[in-house]
Amino acid sequence: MIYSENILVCMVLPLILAAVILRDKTRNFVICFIVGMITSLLGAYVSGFIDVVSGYGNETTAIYISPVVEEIMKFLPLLFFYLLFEPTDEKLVHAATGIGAGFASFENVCSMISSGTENLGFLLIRGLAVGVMHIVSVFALVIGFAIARKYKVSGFTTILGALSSSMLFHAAYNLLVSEPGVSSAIGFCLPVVTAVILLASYKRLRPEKKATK
Amino acid sequence: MITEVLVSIILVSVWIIMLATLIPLGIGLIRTSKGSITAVFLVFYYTIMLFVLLFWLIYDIMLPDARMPFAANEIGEFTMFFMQAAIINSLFESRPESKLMLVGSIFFTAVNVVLWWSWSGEWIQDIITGVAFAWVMYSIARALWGTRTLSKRAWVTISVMALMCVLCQALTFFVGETAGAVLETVGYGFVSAGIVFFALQIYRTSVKEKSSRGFLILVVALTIWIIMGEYMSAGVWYNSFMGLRVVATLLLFVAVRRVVREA
Repeated sequence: MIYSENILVCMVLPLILAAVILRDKTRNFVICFIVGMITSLLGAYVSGFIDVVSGYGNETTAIYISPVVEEIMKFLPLLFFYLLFEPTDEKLVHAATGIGAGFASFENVCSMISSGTENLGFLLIRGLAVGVMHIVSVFALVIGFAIARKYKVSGFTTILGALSSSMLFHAAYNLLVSEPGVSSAIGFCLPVVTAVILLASYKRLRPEKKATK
Repeated sequence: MITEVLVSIILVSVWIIMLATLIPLGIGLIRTSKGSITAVFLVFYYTIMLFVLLFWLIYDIMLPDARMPFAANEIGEFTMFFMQAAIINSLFESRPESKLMLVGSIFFTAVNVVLWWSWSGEWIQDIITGVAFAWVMYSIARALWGTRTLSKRAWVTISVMALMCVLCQALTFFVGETAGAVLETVGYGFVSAGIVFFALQIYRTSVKEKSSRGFLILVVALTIWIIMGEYMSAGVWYNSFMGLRVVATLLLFVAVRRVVREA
């Protein structure tokens, strides 16, 4: 058993100090990073509660329920930011990246402490996969918000669709890495492959910039 | 049993490959149409479907004999209903309203939900899915009604078929095993007849009348009808309906492309 709250406090305090000193975009990113770490801890609480109430067991909850809970937890601060501050798409992307990175970092630290830190190679692969996975899944939410704002129709459906995509992507990753061997290797590759596809789609859809002097 | 799982894995794999091809084509459609909302919803729908299928495939391969607990794919499935409704609703600037269709959709969905509940016992999931199912049913019904895509005779035919399907399935709970098997087969007969009915309507609307909007609404209606059949079946029938859904997925792309190009 690890004391996740203590780890959070140790990690968050220097960041809070940094946020006080920093300004503008960098400060916003640090704040979002902290929010990401806090939501990670809250997500663990909720998953733990569901585990106890449903009687699924640790493993089943981690594979099937955690993706749903964690994506909702990441979605809520982003929804709050979107509704309250009406940010531009760029600001929304920055906030989402901060939340995703903070979430992944805290999850990685807790995972390393609980399962050991001997194998650097594995830690690098896991760290990268989890990092990319959380950022990609939160990016899907940003796409949903951006579409909802641009078209002003079926905002509920669009945001639900984005949330559902990120949950499914996360769930597929969790299921794949739950067993060692080939499935695990595919699981670790999945976030990187998806990130590449997402970037390619984004480039294809981005309006071409007019040549300027 | 093993053959059925194998067939389902092959079908899902084909479906995934098809979706992986259709999604970039859909993105191309968004680009060429300068951001058509119908095309955006189509790509969204396909993306969710791709993830749901990937999750199913991974699960089927890793744990072939275990019943899946509640997971993200259930949320994905009911989101797909909302997406299909959004595809249809994006066709109208002012949506046609019909109280008769609203009541009919709610009634038909409620009967379906009771049947799903009786089969699976997962009442929370069934009620949540039912809400999304009712919404897509209503979206289809009011769109078909508002655009007068179906004649009065066609409405009566499909309504009778729908009622007979659920009636046959409901009666299986009250009769013996042999009579139940007969009723189930008759029910599947009505589902199949409904599929033929929608296929004929699609042919009439798209080829003879050349109505792209009617074509798209009917393709979504066909998809929902097949899903209804899928939800009430198992084994060979389930795989057959799944195979038809693969075809309907492709047909949906053709229908959206036509609507977008004509807009």
